Amino acid sequence: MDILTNLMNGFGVALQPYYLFLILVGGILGTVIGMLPGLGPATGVAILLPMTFSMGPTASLITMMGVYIGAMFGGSRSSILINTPGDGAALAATFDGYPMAMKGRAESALAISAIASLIGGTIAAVLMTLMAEPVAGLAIKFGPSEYFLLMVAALSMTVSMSKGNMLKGFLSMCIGLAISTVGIDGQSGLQRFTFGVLELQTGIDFLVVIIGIYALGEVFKSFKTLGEGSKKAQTKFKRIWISKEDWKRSKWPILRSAPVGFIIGALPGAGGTMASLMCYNNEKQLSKNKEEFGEGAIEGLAAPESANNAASIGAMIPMLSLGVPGSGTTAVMMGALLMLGIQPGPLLFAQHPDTAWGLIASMFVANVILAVVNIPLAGVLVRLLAIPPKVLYPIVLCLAFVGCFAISASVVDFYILIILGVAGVMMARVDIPTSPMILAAIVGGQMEQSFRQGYRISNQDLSTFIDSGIAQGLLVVILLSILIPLFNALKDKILKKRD
Amino acid sequence: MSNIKSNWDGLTGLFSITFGLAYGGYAYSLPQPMFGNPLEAIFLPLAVSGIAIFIGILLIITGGITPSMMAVKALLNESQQRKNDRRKVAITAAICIVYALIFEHAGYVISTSLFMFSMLTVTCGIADWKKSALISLIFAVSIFIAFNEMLSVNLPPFPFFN
Repeated sequence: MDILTNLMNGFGVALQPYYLFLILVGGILGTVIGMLPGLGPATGVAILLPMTFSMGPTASLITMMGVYIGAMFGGSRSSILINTPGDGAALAATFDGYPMAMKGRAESALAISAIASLIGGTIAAVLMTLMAEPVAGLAIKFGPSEYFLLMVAALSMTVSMSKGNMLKGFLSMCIGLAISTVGIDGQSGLQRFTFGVLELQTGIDFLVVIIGIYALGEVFKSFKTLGEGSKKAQTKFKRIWISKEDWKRSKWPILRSAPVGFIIGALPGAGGTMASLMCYNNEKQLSKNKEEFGEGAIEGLAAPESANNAASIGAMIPMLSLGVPGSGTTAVMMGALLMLGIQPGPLLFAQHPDTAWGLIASMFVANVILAVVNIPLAGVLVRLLAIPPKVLYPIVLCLAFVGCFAISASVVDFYILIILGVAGVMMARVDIPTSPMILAAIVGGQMEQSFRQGYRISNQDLSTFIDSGIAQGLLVVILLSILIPLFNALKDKILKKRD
Repeated sequence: MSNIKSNWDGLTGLFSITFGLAYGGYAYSLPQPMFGNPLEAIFLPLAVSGIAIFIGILLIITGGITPSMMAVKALLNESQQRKNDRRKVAITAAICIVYALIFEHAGYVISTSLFMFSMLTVTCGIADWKKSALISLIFAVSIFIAFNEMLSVNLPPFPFFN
């Protein structure tokens, strides 16, 4: 009952005209950025972050939520119409969405994509409503030792998601942790790795890391496709809607994929790409018409679209309830909250209920608004796909720099941004995943402080890290997240040898 | 030899070991804090260093050096198109550095117009320079007004006017 009352209060916030306007504007900007190939929700939220600096925490979070969900909606437009996903999470939409458009069914594809996103996002928002506060309640019982283990668990899970590259995932994590140690140590006052540079004494802001890797890195990587120019997308449509038969085929895939997407999204490092690909494969296995998959099966589009929107909302659970970001986008949102003086985590619901519940309610509202925007206005929005990347990428670079300056007002961060952008390209070249590095740069500082606090409180007794039930549970998670991929890799190797 | 697939594991391993040694060595040479446990401030750096060295060794063992050498050779023998792409990344990085150098001195509008114009020249070529110059100026002025007036984010003003 409490949850319902809180949610109603949240709707009282989210439905105010000012917040509705912010969701609409954020959602449209997010849709536009999400549609543009190579620019996903994390880049979108990162480069639009300065837009929220003059707002209060609630307005800022609600706007970013609009951008986030908008980017998830928009990502699949380019997948369906030009066979180029806006980001990884929209990749699965190319498998059947593009063939549908090629067969003259672009209207059905665009409509089912928006409807599946709406339903998937709404189911995930319901799950979020039910789970956010209980998870936060559990997290209140966490002491420094448990917090340390929680962050190690988040890191180990992110590393274990680096499929086939687990060792490189660990290396990426080490680089991220090294970044987090730059600056004055909060507990001893010691300057670490500042190399005499005054501006480095306050450390490297993780938002700079994110903008460097996502915005600059993505633009640098995109140079190889620059010569290809922009693909022509269909811009004139008949009525964008689906038939009864389409709905009959899509409804169960949508409903099945939403909870799966939500759970995968809540796992640190997993995200929308894994959720949508997994649900696509699940539907293919379950379908009686397997041969239609890849040729324009509507279920093959509905399932991943539902899953990736649900995953984007699932990723908010660890950020809001535990203070640990579940994805790149939620990391940027967490950074924005910290800049506004609000600490995400278990106390958020008690100390800032308007912000927390307003944000949850805005997830419902944003999904509805974006479905309304994306269905009738699809023809207008997709015209933006005609913007050539040659013009687009310099604009993204400029926005990245101005965003960086707005965060720290320091030009030194420009150099860090450039180094990280080049590092992003090189890491991609040698198959080092960037997600563990980003997560480590974000949680590294807090993880170290929690370890040292736990160590001091227990009079330098390391058994404090295995004493409580929560700590033991987290240790099991850490061990499983490392051992399962190792076991799978070993199994694959043995099977390959047999073949 | 022909069955060996090229990969970057060996060289990544070498990088990991070098990174671990340099980072750990630097951490160990940091001055001791004035109070508290002298090792506490370098617990994490030393642990990270140890993990990086261990990962590096594992990468070299599992990946080997020969496939990495093959990957380097393949990189050197890449098509002219790929080499041009890499050159564009290098030129862009250089333009970004110049932008960082002049940003505060020349002010936002001038530095950003020059940066944007240079970037558009890299991506679109010099033929459309008038169009590029116009886009650059309009973009820089709009962002300056939007941030300074609407978002209350103070960007460096014009150098000669306040």
